[in-house]
Amino acid sequence: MLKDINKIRNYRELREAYSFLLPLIVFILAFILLPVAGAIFTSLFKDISFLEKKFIFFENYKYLFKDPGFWQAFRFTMLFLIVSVPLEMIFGLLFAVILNQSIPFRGCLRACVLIPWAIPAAISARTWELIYNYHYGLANFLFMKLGLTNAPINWLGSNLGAFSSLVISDVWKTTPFVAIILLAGLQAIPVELHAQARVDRANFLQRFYKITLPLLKPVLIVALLFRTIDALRIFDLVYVLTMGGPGGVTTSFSMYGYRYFLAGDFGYGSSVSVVLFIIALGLSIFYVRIGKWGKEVI
Amino acid sequence: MKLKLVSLTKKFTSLRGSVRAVDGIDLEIQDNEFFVLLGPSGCGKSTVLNLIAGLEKPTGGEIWFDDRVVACAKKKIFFTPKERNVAFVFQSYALYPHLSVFENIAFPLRIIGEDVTKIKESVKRVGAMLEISNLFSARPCELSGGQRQRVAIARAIVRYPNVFLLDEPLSNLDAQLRVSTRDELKRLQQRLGVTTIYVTHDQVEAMTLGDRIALLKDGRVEQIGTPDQLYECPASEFAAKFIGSPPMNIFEAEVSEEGEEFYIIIGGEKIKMPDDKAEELKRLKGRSCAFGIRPEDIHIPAPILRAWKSKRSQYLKAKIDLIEPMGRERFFHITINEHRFSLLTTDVRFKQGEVVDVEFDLKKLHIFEKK
Amino acid sequence: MKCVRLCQILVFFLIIITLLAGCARKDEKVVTFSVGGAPNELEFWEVLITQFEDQTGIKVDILRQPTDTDQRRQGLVISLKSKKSNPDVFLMDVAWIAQFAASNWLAGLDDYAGEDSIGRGVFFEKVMDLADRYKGALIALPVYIDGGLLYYRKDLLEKYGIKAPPETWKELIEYSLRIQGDIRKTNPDFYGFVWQGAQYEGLVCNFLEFAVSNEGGINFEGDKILLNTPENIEAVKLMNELITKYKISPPSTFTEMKEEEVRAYFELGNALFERNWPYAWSLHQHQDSLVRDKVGIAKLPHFKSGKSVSTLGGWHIGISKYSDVKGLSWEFVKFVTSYNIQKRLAMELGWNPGRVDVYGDRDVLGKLPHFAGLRNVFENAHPRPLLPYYTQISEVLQRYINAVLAGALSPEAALLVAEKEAQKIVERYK
Repeated sequence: MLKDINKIRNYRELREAYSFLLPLIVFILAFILLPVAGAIFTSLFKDISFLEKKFIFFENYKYLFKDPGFWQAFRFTMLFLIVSVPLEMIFGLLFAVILNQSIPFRGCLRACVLIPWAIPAAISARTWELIYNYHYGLANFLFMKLGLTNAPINWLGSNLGAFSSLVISDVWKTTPFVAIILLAGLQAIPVELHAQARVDRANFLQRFYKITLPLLKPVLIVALLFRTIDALRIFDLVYVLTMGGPGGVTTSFSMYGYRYFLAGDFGYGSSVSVVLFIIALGLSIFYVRIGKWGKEVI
Repeated sequence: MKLKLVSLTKKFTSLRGSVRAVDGIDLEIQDNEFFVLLGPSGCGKSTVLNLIAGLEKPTGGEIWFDDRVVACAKKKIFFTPKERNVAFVFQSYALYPHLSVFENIAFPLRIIGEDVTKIKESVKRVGAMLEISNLFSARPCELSGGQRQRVAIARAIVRYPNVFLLDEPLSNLDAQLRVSTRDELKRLQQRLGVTTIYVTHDQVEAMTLGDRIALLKDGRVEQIGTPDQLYECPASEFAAKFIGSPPMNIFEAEVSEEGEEFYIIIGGEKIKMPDDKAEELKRLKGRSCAFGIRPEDIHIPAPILRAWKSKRSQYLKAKIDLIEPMGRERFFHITINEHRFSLLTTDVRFKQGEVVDVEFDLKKLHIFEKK
Repeated sequence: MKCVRLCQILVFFLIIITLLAGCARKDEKVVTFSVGGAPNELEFWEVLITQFEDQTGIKVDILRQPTDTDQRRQGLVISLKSKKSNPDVFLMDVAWIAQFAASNWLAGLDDYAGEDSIGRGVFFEKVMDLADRYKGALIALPVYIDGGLLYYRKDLLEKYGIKAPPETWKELIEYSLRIQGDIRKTNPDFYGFVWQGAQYEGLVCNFLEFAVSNEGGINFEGDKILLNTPENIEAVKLMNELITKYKISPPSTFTEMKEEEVRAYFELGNALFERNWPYAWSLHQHQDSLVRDKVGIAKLPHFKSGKSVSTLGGWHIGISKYSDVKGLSWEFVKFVTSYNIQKRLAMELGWNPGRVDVYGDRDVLGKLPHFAGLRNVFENAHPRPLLPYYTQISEVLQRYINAVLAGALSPEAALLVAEKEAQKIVERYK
């Protein structure tokens, strides 16, 4: 008899729990899963605005994997990811550690650090465009003034130059985001643990590696996940600074797909989106695994 | 190892002004001594502990370990906690949440690169001593409060520290556990023979554990002594009220001098002072003072004795306002002519509202000069 | 308790009403006009709209878009693909009007044109045939035409004893080297020739002016696209050498130089020759311009064996097939392509009207004397291939030509691969 009552109570609780979750589930379904499903569906069709619509199954994907333009975008985006994300994490961690110490004007500094993140992406991209400008950009002006070079540098004009310029602009903009997240994580570590570690004869580096970093891991994974997904999707910075150039070497995934959508080839554009989605999903699952989410110890 | 604190001062400055948490403390702690720092919250006892550990820098004074200066503000000498070889147990135990119990205890040894077999040996030894060997693979979040405390202590003693510092380690335990752990701690300390400095606000803990106690107030030392000394001869009103439970009765009374004899007037009755007290009153003539008497030193005489002693004794008439039974004893709240006192007795005869005769054991009367 | 209940019901209804209000359909009798451009151009459109509303009483809502041609296209593609009724009328770049027409997004205008008897000869016929007719049906009207021109500093040519602007690329290089060499002594930022070389559509316009003037260009042999021709290779090689060998064009040509960047550079007095569209003229003649009254216009140079080529550009106005106010929209189209308004566009913005008759107007010729020669240029302007998927082919060309300008690929290698990729595109979109 008691067992039944408990069963009913559990069922009621479960129903209540789900009814609270319902708005969120509806939201995710409607605005996230449905569009993804829509994209997958569209990608199976020859959906070109000026041609007849046909179901072609995986033809779009076959074309995609043979297209050198796709692989160029793949190479660039992955390289961009591998270079910029670690840089952001390292600088972000550095800033977070500094901002966690008791230094004068700490509150002011914390606010200042956030400024790059607060500036809208397009505006900061335009500003960097002006900085990298060959003729009257700030970068060339400073470099020539400081005697580092005697001829202006064509920042966006070479493969390495354009890539580095993009990385620098992106790292500048998004490091504050990482720093703030990591700072929150650092502050969650009880101060006494550090004092205890000091007494236990650990020096600063040892404390950092054995206490701070392990306890920071969940937050690190979150920051890593966010930055990875954002780096995969990079568009506005590339669009403003290089338009994918010079010679198409800085074309990102998003830019590549965008061109096809613009030309009316929605089926193919959708297939690019789907591929990007799968890569992002794969990386997310990877991070969750190594971060052992859901199995934290407090 | 001996410790010496010389005029130790710590001043904290913030936007709201500066605060002297520790204000010129002089102490000497003997080798192997279980020394207690006792005081109400905010008296600076934890700060003193942090200064001894090397977690804070003194703004004035010196700290000596044996005959070495480990911290001196003026000469800018400062030894890090590592260099001082101290062990510390925090009130919250500060166990590393991401490490197992074994790793927590092994931490101080691993950090300095001890040999792996030696580490294993040491941790096992300590684990057996504190009876936590069965918990080695558990994480701190899985342990109870008492178990966590043992792990913290194990971590502290797994190496051989010069000083063992504990900051209110029992406050997070429930009352029963506190009592049993207290005894174990004392025994452990005697077995290990390490100089131990123990911080607490609980005077019962201080009295039961300490070889000597330093009573602190507002960053200064009120009194240092053995538990008995502090109990029997409190140096100030504050010390008198702080030590002993239930607390001492402090009261004011008029002093009258008649020739060579001194009297004090309590509740309208004139009580003659014995010679030694008279001497003291003579010394303190002209200055304001307060009197103190412990509840157990106010007696309700038996009727037979009453009759016999009637001429020589000095009784006061008291009304029993409230009786608190405490099992072994009973705690009486009495009023003597509108002055309130409390009284501890094993006598079961009396009831609330009755008027009885009480007698003050004048040998145990304390006189405090008011500052 | 009752009060609380009442309040709850009230709030509930308020929410419902607010939600529904958001879904309410707008007033059906408004024409939504989508247009982009420079700020001064957009402001002028607002002025014109006010005039239209006063004249006809038809309300027009303007949907402002950015300057960039691809961004303007993007906004339209999204609306048209989802078959929305707004915008009703919009401008289209001649480069992608074929895509819109082939996608069946434009309303047929023959009936309207017939009613109002807009006959042949009112607009540039060649342009109309090329851009405004799809499978015989009229789907747009030209608002303004563009063709690439050579701007030059007539004061500098005079100073150095050069009688006429260059006719061949060789002459252009020669003049540039001579004058640049001298002026560099005092002005190290001076360059001989600025043109659009960034990776975007404008690059292909420039390319065609080089290539077609060498009898190359984007050509088809049946179903096969021809890009990898000796003529094209020579043209691309020249484009590269302007930057790397002769250094009369700045290294920023292939990274930053688009229309506005080129114009600004020339306007600061830092260039001898400029390739740009006609719009730059009135801006060069502006009060604050450093080159005011020092600028001349000429046809672009050509290779020795070829003729001068001007790439046809321009914007056309059309009505959405899904518009719910096609009749009213047609009135607006008529208005924009009317003689007076076309004249105003010429006088105030320096635009080259789609109507031919405006080119003979006395006031226009008084203010913009070069219009006399322009008419001829436009009648012979070289169009980009009229394919719905032209922008995709252009994209391939942009990438590879830009790579050559950057020095990353040789012209031969670039055009070889470009042709292969372009062929794949042709086959994909057949």
